[in-house]
Amino acid sequence: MRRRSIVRELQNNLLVVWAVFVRDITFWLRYPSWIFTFIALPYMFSGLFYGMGYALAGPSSLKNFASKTGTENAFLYYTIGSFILLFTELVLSDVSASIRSEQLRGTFEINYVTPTNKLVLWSAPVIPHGLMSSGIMIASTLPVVIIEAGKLDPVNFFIAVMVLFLGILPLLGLGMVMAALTMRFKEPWAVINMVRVILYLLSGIYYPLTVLPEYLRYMAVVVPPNYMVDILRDLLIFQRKVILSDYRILALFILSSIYLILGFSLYRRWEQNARRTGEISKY
Amino acid sequence: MPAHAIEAVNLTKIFYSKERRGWFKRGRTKKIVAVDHISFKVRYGEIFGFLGPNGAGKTTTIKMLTTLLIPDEGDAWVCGYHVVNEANRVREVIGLSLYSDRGFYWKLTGRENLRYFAYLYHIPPKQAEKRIDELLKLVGLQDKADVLVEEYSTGMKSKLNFARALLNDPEVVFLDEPTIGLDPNSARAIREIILDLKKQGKTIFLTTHNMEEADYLCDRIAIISRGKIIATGTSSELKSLIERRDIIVVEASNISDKVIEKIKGVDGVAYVSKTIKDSVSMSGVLRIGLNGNSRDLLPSILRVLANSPIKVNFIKPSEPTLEDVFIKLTGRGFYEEEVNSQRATK
Repeated sequence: MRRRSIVRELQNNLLVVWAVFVRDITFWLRYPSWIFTFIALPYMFSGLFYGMGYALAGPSSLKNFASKTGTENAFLYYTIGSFILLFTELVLSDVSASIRSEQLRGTFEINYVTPTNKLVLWSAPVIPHGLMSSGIMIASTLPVVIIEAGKLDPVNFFIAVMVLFLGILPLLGLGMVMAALTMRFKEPWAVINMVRVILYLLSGIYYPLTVLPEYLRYMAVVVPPNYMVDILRDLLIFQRKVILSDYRILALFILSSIYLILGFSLYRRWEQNARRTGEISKY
Repeated sequence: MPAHAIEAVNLTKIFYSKERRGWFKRGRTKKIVAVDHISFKVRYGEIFGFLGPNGAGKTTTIKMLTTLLIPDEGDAWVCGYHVVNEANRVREVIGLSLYSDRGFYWKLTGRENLRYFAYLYHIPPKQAEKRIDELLKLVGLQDKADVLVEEYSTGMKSKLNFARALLNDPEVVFLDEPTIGLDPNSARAIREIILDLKKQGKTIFLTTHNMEEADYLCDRIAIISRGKIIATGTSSELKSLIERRDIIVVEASNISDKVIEKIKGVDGVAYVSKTIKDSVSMSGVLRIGLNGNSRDLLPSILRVLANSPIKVNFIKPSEPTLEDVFIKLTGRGFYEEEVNSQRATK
């Protein structure tokens, strides 16, 4: 009996995820200008920082770069960094702004009064957005990775994709924390921009964390993209093997648990409070 | 099966509103008792209307009953499920139409919107398609089902809203001002669907500030004013609360408070209420309740009207309506209270 209800609950939640998936993919395919953005952005960011680096350090820039990072291939280093930056950006903004944008659109209450698990409902947009954006970005950056790195180990590539999906979990939790803050402060971009600046500073996206002061390096321990970008560079630039018991994968698992619990409990608290104050159905 | 489809006991909701003055100064925090200890029961299969002016507490009540708000005091049950402790159970058995033209994804078609919400109600895909077809037919949107919602008129969005509220074949349907902002034809179509739903055995809880609509649709009506239920009963029971008296209806333009005061000054006039339909030409309707016989009093009233700048379109006698009941019970005109409540919240 209990098993049957668990199966039914799972089926119901999958149907909700599917509903959100179809809804968002339909939006995206009906208004496809975003595809060009995702194809172009990783290269645009990489080119920008590559140019800045050269302007600052001149002809010896790549040697300086190699002494800090272990590779002279700055373009590939930046492309992988840009890829993680955009991926993180997308997951965080999707989750943190989803509730607020539903409120402003007038669809929040109607979604809310359905008998769905709200945590599943509000976090489900991550799946279509994560899949579409990462699929397109992988397709657009893969040729560069192959050309620049010289070869591509299929096992390493598979692990890289898995790391991306694992990385969604802590980002989802962080997104929920930001969503709760967004609802508290009303203005989503004020919260999202503040968190994202701190996050990207400590993520080692365009430089190794070793260039940062020691106290900032300690703070970076709780920043998930830091581990993701490090693993991806090991796999794709340095062609190193990464095993499941790698400390960075364990760190991603631990951060997933912490941020998911924190995010979901903050959301629950906001929800209860909003149902009391009327905030939940004000718009 | 529980005895009542909806039961509310001492339901209360208080909001706190902060005043803002200039850029940095905060004014007082105002306590607003939106719903004040209301109790009522709705039977299975009936259309129960919540009639009251804007700001009376109708939508707040609906939001508490549909789990969107937690009451500050009191309890409520829908189909036997407690609205706070068993919120998800309540959501399974209700349908809600909260706004006539909001609450849709405009870049999806009508059918896609319904499909999305059907999945949120856990209706399996095959069953959902069948149900969506039935509902589109019911509301007369089959031909426009595959058009983006952004291209829908207000009336079409209202109908779609209606269809969505029925997706999960709910036992109780909550409709908040279902015909507000609609043209007469669309409003009539929606009213016919509501009556159809009643025939299917659905319980309908609707809020409205349209007295004719409440009179036409509802089996029983609760009149709500300033957060309190002031009377409950069938339309004829409510009308019997006021003594039989003659009522004169004057449709006119250039209506002013000065004229109303003059009419009130005529010996034998019990009350005058106004409904302004166009605030530029100040045209609208005056309802004049008389203590005496209309034949005796009409000449005096006509004299006042003739000596004032008011332009009369027609004058006719009328039967007592729910508005007269409202005036009798509150001492205020229905629309006067509406204007005052809007002023108070501004």
